[in-house]
Amino acid sequence: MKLKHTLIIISGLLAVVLIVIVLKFYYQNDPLETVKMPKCAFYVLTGWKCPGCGGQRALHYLLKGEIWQSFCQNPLLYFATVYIAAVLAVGKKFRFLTGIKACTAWFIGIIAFWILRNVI
Amino acid sequence: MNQYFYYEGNTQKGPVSLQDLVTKITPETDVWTQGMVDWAKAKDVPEVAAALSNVSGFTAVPPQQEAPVITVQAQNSDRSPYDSPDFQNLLIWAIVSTFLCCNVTGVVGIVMDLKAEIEWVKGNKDKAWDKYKTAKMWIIIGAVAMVVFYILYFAVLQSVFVNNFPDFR
Repeated sequence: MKLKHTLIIISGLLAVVLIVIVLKFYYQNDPLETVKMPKCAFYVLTGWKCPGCGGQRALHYLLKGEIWQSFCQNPLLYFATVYIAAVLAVGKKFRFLTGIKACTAWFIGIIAFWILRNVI
Repeated sequence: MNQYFYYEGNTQKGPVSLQDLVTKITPETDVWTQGMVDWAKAKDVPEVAAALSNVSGFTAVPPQQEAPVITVQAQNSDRSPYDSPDFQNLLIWAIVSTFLCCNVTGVVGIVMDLKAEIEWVKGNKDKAWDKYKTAKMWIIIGAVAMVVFYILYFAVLQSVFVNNFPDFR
């Protein structure tokens, strides 16, 4: 049991260190200017933006404190984050959060967002 | 000729023909064949009871209108993870996957979760569970494809793309 606890603590610390390193990296580097960050696979292959494009830019601007700029990079990502947090917190109590209407709404929303951001 | 299934202890056996079946069972054994709604004791299934009586001298009794014998198999199909209050479908993971570059497989995952919910509301528990597993499969495929792509990306593709498409975002 003692060994197990030690392993959990060590892996937890490693995870925290890793997250700090990644956040620092995203704080210091603008995804538009560096080649060190991965490009979206869908964008590389097709030339069209996918629903997730702008996520790295959003994180960069968020860490810089430019909230509105960050939001504009990928608005749907913000709705998704709030929604996922809500489901993780109270999803078991409120099953409709992952019900038919929620699935339909997300399907339509993501497809519409996907098309619109390539058209506009 | 119908094929028969029977229980030996808690183990389901079969298929066997009627002639073989009667050598292996007692009148109290649970048996099933095509066309029967549920498992029943051999003595309550007319053709099996008749065949048994030919072999062992057991006298067939007329079928009784009792509650059907609920077997292990029948209970399993009634139990579904969807019944558990802790159960959650994979919608949020499909969305995470959609935003983390597995957009096509992620959307397929959302559609499969939608189908699973529809089947669940209709009462088709088994179909709902099948769709759930399909959704899970697509989310895993997306994740694996993403990892493979980015290993390739940083190993080979990156320099090619950066050199040829300098305005890549």
